[in-house]
This record gives sequence, C-alpha cells and structure tokens, in this order.
Amino acid sequence: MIKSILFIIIFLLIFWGMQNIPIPMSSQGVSTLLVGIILLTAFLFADLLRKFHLPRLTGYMIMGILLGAGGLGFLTSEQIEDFHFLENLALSFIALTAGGELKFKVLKEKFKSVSYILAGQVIFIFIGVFISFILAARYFSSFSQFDGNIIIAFGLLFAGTALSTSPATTIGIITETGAKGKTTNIVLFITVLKAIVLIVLFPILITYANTIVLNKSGLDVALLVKFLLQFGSSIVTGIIFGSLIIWYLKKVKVEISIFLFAVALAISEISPLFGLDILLTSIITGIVVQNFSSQGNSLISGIEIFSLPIYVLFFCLAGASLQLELLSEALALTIFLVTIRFIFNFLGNYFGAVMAQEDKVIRNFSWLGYIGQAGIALGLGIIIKQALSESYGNLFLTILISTVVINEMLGPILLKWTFFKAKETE
Amino acid sequence: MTALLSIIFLFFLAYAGFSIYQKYKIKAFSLRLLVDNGSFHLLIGLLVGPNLLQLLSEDILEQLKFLVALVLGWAGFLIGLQLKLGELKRFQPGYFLFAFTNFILFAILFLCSMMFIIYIFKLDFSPVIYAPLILLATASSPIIIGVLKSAGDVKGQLMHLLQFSVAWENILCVASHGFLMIIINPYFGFDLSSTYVIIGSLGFSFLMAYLFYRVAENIKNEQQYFLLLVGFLLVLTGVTLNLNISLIFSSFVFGVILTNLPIETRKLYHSIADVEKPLYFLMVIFVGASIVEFYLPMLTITLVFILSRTIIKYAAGYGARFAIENPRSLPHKIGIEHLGMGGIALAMVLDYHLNFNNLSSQYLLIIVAISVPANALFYSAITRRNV
Repeated sequence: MIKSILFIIIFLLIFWGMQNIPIPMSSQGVSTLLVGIILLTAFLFADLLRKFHLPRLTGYMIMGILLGAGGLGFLTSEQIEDFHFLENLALSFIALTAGGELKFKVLKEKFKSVSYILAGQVIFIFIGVFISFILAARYFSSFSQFDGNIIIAFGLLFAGTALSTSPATTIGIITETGAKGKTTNIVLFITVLKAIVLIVLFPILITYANTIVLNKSGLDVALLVKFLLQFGSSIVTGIIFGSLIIWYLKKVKVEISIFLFAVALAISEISPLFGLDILLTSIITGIVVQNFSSQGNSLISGIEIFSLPIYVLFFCLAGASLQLELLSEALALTIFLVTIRFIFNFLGNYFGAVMAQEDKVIRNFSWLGYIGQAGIALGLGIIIKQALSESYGNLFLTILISTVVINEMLGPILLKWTFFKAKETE
Repeated sequence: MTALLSIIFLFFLAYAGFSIYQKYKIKAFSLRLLVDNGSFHLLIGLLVGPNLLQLLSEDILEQLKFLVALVLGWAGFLIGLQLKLGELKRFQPGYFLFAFTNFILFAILFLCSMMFIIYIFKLDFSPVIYAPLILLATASSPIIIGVLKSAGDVKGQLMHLLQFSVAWENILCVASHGFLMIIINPYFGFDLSSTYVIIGSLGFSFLMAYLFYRVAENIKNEQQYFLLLVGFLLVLTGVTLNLNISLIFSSFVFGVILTNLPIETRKLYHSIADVEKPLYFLMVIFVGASIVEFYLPMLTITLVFILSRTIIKYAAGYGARFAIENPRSLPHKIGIEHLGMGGIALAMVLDYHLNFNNLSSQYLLIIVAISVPANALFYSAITRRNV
C-alpha cells in the first residue's frame, strides 16, 4: 500500500517537475505526459482501493477528482476539453463492447424478465420521479418562484434523465469482476436497452417540454424529424461498420485489436461530423457483429487488450469533469432527486421481477445495478440545456450534474455488490 | 480533415496494404523485400502528404506529433528489448569482433567518401548533417536477412552471424544517434549542459524501467501489463518530447534496462505483439508524409549516396572478415547482405526530423525515403535474386 502511494507521488512529482523546468513545453508533449500520468496514477490508485473491496472504476474516478481542477489542478478544464476526443473514443469502444455483449439468443431466453423489469423501471421511475418532483418542487428555493408549467417541464426532464443508467459503468464492472450469469445478463440487457429507449424517447420529451409546456407553442416537427433522422442514420452507420468488422474478421483475421480500435476511432470522429449518435452507432455495430455473424467472440476478445487503458482514461476524465462545487449549490434538491430515483428504481425493478416470477436476488438486489449514471445522463443534460433558454438550461444542468456526481460515485460500488450478492463474480 | 480522421485514414491505408499482402502470398524476392520494408507505405505517405494530394497537411502532421512520438518511443523500446546481456554469452567472440569492425570501418569509410563527394560537387552541406547521415547509412535492415532466412537461401552459422551483426549494428546506431541528438541539440550546445542532459535522460530512463519493474512485479493480467507499458512509454515520450531529445534513444535505454531486469520478457513481448506491425507501417507512412518539398538535385545526391553506401558496405564487410580467426570461412561479399535499409533508418530520420524540422532534416528524409526501396531493388539486382 505504501509502495503504491509512493509510486503515485513519484509520478505526480515528475509531472510537477516538468511543468516547472525552465524549458518551453510543447502542448503535444504535455498532453502525452499527462495521459501517461493519468493511466499510471489512476491504475495504481484503483489497485490501492481494491484492498478496501472498492471497484477499480471508483478508484479511477477519485484519481480523476484529485488530478482535476478541484484537486491538484494538473487536469485543467482546457485540458479536459482537449481530451474530449479520448472520451468519445472511449464511449465508442465501451458501447461497441456493450453491443457485442447483447446476444439475441440469450435475450430471447430472458425476454420475459428483461421486458417486465424494463417496463417496470421505465414506468415507475418516470412517473414516480415526475409526480414526486411536482409535489415537492415548491419546497426548494430554486423552484419556489416558478409557475406550474415550468415545474412540469422540469419534472418531465428530470424524470427522463433519471431513467438513464451508465452502460460504461456496467461494462466496466463486468469486465473488472469477470461477472457471468443470469443477473449479469439481465442488468446488462436492461442497461443497453434503456440507453436505446432513451435515445428514442428523449427527443420527444425535449420537444414536448420545450415547445408545448414552456413556450406554449405547437409541436416542433422539424426538431422531431431531425432527431428521427439522427436515429435512423446512426442505425444505418452502425450496420455499415458492423458489416465492415464482420468482413475483416472473416477475411483478414490479423491484428484484430488494432482494427477494432481504428473502427472505434472512426465512429467517434465521424459521428459528430454527420450528427450521428456515437453511443447508438457503436451499440448497433456491436449488435450486428454479435448477432449476424459467428464473429462475436472475436470481437469481444479483440477489444479486451485495449479495454483497460480505455476505462482508466474514460473514468478518470469523468472524475476530473465532476463539478463537485455544484453539489453545495443545490444539495437538498440533489439529495431529494437521488433518493426518489433510488426508491422508484427499487419499486420498478421489484414489481417487474415479481411479474416475471424472478428469484429473490433479482427482485431485491438487482435494482442496485442501475444506479450508475455518467455519459448518457450528462449528454442528455447538455442537449436539454441547449434546447432550453439559458437560465432554465443552466439550472437544469447544475442540478443534473450534482445528481450524476452522487449516482456515479455510488453506481460502481453498488453494481459490484449486486454481482457479488448474486455470486456471479470470478 | 481533422487530425484524428487522418489517423483513421492512415490506419485503414496501412491495413489495406497489409491485407493485400496477406491475401496474395508474394513469391518474387524483390517484391517481397519492397513490401516488407514498407516501401509501399512510404509511397502512400508521400502521396497523401503535403507534397502531393495534401490529405495530410503540415498542420495535421504537427497535431499528430504526439502519435509519431509514441510510435518512435515504441520502436526504440523494441530495439532495446533485443539487448539481453545475459544472452550475449551465447555468441562467439568472433561475432562481436566482426560486428564492431564492420560498424567502425563503415563509419570511417563513409565519412571519408561523403567529405570527398561534398568537396568534389561543392555542396553546401552543414557539417552537422555528416554525423546523422553516416549513422543512417550504417543502419542495416534485418528485413533482407529475414527474407533470406524464410526463403532458405542462407542457413546455419552464417545466418546466425548475419542476424547478430545486423542487430548489433542497429543497437550501436541507435545508441550513437541518441548521444548525437543530445550533442547537436540547439537547446543545449556543445558544453557541459549536454553532459547533464545525457546523464539526466539516461537516469530518467533507468528510473522509469526500475519503476516499471517494481510496479509490474505482481501483475499477472496481460491487459494490466499492456496498460503499464503504454503508460510508462507515454510518460517517457512526453518528457523526452518536452526536452527535445531523441525519442528512440530514451525508450531504447528503457527497453535495454527492462529486458535485463529479472522480468518475464515473454509477457512483455506478448502484450505488445499485436501493435508492433501496424505501428511500424504507421511510422513509415509518417516518413513519407513528412517530406514537404521535393528537391530535384537531391535525386543525384541520393544516387551517389546509394552507390557509395553499397561499395562501402561491401568494403567494410570484406575488411571486417579479417577481424575473426578464419576470414575465409565467411564469403567476401558478406557486407552486401547488410545493404538493406528499413525500420531503424526510418525511425532515426523521423526522430531527427521531429527534433529539428529544418532543411537538413528534409534532405535526410528524402535520401532515406528514396534509399529504402532503391536499396531493396539494388540488392536484388546485385545478388541476382528474381531479377
């Protein structure tokens, strides 16, 4: 333990020393060094936390917080912005894995449970959070002055974002713990399917909240068409990339890892250029390879070698991006939202599992696997912020980020515990 | 085109070439040499670079500098891994004598010939360019030896000696290149500061290798091993890039120390095997793309370079035979087998270009870029293999 701490200090001193030597530093040199420092310190710190039975992902995030602007200040907000391409790349890689793990054959076997629990969660969380927020909003200073329509609009959007679960956290913990089994499959399927449901549901929700509730105007058809086009083109692009991977895995079969890395890079770079959704495109790519060819295993094993550096970077940068100072701004509302999301998550999961006649573990504990929130929730938050007026947008994003901070810190720990409770970890 | 899209483009180009190569097993010796030493990737780099199609502009190349740095770091590391001191005992003293003599003889003869050519043609070459040029000319490609081996043309002890001599020559080249880059670095100059930087950079590589050893000693998982290796190489190249010293040298030292520590090198090789070849091709493409201007007179100079290199390679090989006990046991044209030019020369020239990025580095890039395919063809022609 002392050895790991000592190594972390040495690496941090190297970076500090390089920043303070009287030689002009190139931005490329600093970025290269910083990525190396992130990888090594986060890895060592996560290893340290394992002694306390905490998941590695939590370690990566805490190291990110320490390196970030709120901590040692090695990772400034400009640098985090510069590394945005790495986050997109990581997201694409993780979603590719998530899609690759989604086997239709297994899904068919678990269809009843997955569909009931998914429906239970969507209905309970959405309606539960929406109604609870409307009833309680006036007791919070940020909303006490707002009229009914604004509260309804905010309620809809908070309820929508409460549905999201982080596929990255789920995939990360599955990879870390080597979890296999019924609970693992159900949690993974529901997480990925929820991400797809959200991508479809959200444009409608934003359009409704913004145009009909807030602005009291007609339905913005152009906006809906834009979202539909984005959805369709992401699926088509995913199918194209999936076919390309299948062709490569069948015909070329050499250096698969590098090829998959290049595909993930291509998706993460091409998607913003053509307005595609990185997550959906990558998930569909993975689904196509896994379910429309016999190359699913090659895909997963090809991704494995790069997965660890990708997770470390993704979660460490996610940690560095967490704006902890926002927590204090709306602490009471944040705690309220996190708590009601917990409660309705449990209720939705419980009733869905009872309807599907699932066992005790699924009924009582698997809801803990859906707590983690990261990229999707924040991504949706940013879309919402852009769609709303500046004051509403900022207020929404501040509260959302605060809830994501808590959920993302608790998510990996609870998910790991769920798999442990289900006795599905290695 | 953004920098990242350019990387993707390069990756796919490298793959297209590699897949074609995999699909159609090439039998012609000269063509195999050209494919293996990356001549086609070099050509692709030249085509997409700022000189011709401009798909990779100078700005993008600048943005991709970190990737080039990582690729060079990787290349130096792989060369360093070859130098396992414990295993050197396996080789006869004659091997060392031959390799050293060959290296020294070639360097001296080539320096004389370059000075003579520059004097005759009255070329306006800075003396600073002599040393890197000699080292670039000295470096031999193991690819010719590899192709000869796989074709079964050379076997037994002679093949063993050739493999040793080429590997040793390249190790000496990289080490000399590293010291040279520090000495001629404009930041430090020819004074005591160079000594500090040499000691400092060696010390830093030692520190990194020791830390790697201590961190990796309890790691069994291949992914974690890969992460550590990438992380350490990034730190090393990041520091080196900021100090403007040779990237391949510092990672070479890192590799040498690591391979000589009680560490399971098989695990090391295994964790990097997947990325080795694509990174090599990427590096070759970068060399091609880094040629921003083509100077026609350089063709003549390069031709003279190739011819003099060939003659001196032959002469140095011929002379080095006498360093061993029984010179007649080696063929008189053994130096010709060292004619190939490939990865090491390309890595060194790119490293030089990355640090200096001036007219001299452009000259060197052009000379090496033309010499790599030309030498392969020239070798086939001289040895009359598939011509």
